[in-house]
Amino acid sequence: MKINFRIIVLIVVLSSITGLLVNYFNPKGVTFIHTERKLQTAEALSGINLSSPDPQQINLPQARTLYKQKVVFIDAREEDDYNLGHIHNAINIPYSNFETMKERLSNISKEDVVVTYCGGSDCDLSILLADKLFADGYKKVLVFFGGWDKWLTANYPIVINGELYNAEVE
Amino acid sequence: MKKIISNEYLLIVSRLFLGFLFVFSGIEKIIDLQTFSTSIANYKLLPNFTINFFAIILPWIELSAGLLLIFGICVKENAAIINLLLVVFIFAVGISMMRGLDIDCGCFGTAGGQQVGFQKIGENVLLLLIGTQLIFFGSSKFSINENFFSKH
Repeated sequence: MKINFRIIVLIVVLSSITGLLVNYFNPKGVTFIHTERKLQTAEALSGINLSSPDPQQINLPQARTLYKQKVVFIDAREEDDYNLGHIHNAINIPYSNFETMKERLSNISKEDVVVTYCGGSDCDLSILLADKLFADGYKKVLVFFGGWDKWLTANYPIVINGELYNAEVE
Repeated sequence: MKKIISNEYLLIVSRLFLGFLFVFSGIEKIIDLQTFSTSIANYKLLPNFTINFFAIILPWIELSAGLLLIFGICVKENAAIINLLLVVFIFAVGISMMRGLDIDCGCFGTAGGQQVGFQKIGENVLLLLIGTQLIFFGSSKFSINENFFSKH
């Protein structure tokens, strides 16, 4: 097992320089300092900005209002997580299987408002899924940023292992 | 056992498999650096100002190590680079799981999203074993020149 460490350093340095150069001259390259992607916040639900080029973000009270209006919620997590617990009436379209699962969207019109969510504000699956939906023609896509965590701690209607908890008293 | 692991045809299979996998993974990331940079950011492990630096260089290290493996140039060294990367990936996925982040792993850029989880760690450990095999036994069969660098 004779390894030449100088070669390792050489390969790493050369490919790093190549990467930096290519990125520098590539018009589509990224900036040297990472800028966090900030979703626009939907100010008022009535005024969802339809010309927005990006999915918009909503908070817990807004999500709650939309839930009461029977807007479709989409859980972007894996099936296992969904089965362990999800927002009542939410459908599950795991981001990782979007292409095979998107038939579950077939009875939702592209004009409808849909809300995506995942584990909490620390996850990105809801945003990634929203991007895919956007690209697929759904233009009223909202991301519920607080996700499952916020909904759970707020004691709103949930389904855990197929059983409904905190059911709405109409 | 050693005889099987050091079988030169098995070594070629390992070399090409690991090589093509990393070339694919590198290219997928290079095509969409922005997404890859977001993936790194989601792990919340690196300080903000270093994220894009790694996003820019990492795919190219994967690509060159993969290409060199395919052509059989400095197989042991490139396998070592790949193993180093894999160890970093395993730690990153492991830490994210412990912190309960459900994020896309960003493993192959945008191609087929996979979430961080035990399966990902398992896959990486498997690749780590293949890399270790190559570090120990190299693979000189059908290589451009196994002593490409050491002769000069």
